[in-house]
Amino acid sequence: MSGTSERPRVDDDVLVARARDGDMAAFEDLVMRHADRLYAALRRFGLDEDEAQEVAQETFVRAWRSLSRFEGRSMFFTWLYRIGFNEAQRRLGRRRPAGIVISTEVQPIDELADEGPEPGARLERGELRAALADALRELPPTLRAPVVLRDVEGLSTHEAASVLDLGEAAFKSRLHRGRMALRDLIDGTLLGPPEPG
Amino acid sequence: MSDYLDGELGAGGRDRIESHVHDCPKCRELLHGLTSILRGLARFREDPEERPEPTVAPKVLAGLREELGKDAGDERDV
Repeated sequence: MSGTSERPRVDDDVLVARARDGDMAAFEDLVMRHADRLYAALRRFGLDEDEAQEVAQETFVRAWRSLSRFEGRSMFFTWLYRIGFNEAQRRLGRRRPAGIVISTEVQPIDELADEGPEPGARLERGELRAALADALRELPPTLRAPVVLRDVEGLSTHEAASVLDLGEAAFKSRLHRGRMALRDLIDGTLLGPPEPG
Repeated sequence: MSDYLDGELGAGGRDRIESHVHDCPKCRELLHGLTSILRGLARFREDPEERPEPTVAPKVLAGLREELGKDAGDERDV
């Protein structure tokens, strides 16, 4: 035993309440807790590394400055995501279509084939992963955002719709269109054969 | 079909989808394709390679402190 005790994890609600009272340390805890995940989501949405870091930082600056307006009707991270995705959409909207970048680390196929058991399965997963990353990049931001929030980030339909300031029906419509567009973009052989009926 | 995949259909809706898919090869293929895609997308979140390395949180925090420090300076200058 090291003799050091870990601080029990405090709920976001408690930290937010303290931050609203001017406790900067509480807000910094929220930054450390959520910044990486927000950054990763912004990267998957289409921002490059520098942009994603800038937008993540800008998100927390805006969140701190407007904490008094956060009424707690949504979860804190949902509200953060909304600020972040709004800014990300503005930046992507200013770009020419060819400028969208997602840096995806893709292992060479022969490395994948040499790793561990079931090399064929690993190879297929690596190819599908690369194909999905490419296909996400091809989607327009209005369809990419629902897919990233719901299917990659794992937000609920309600949370993801809230981030994008959409009603749930409108959100689900875009989500379905995004998923169908991905399917159309991906080589069907990577998806494997369906089970017989 | 997206509602079915997201578990957002009631029992009646699920039964209708499953019954139809059982008899319709085209829809069975569609359902399978979408399921594979959703599984693949979920792996992005779970894959340690997807996490920023090193973590960006300290840099974001440093930038935040610098930016808010400017706010405090502006307030002093008023």
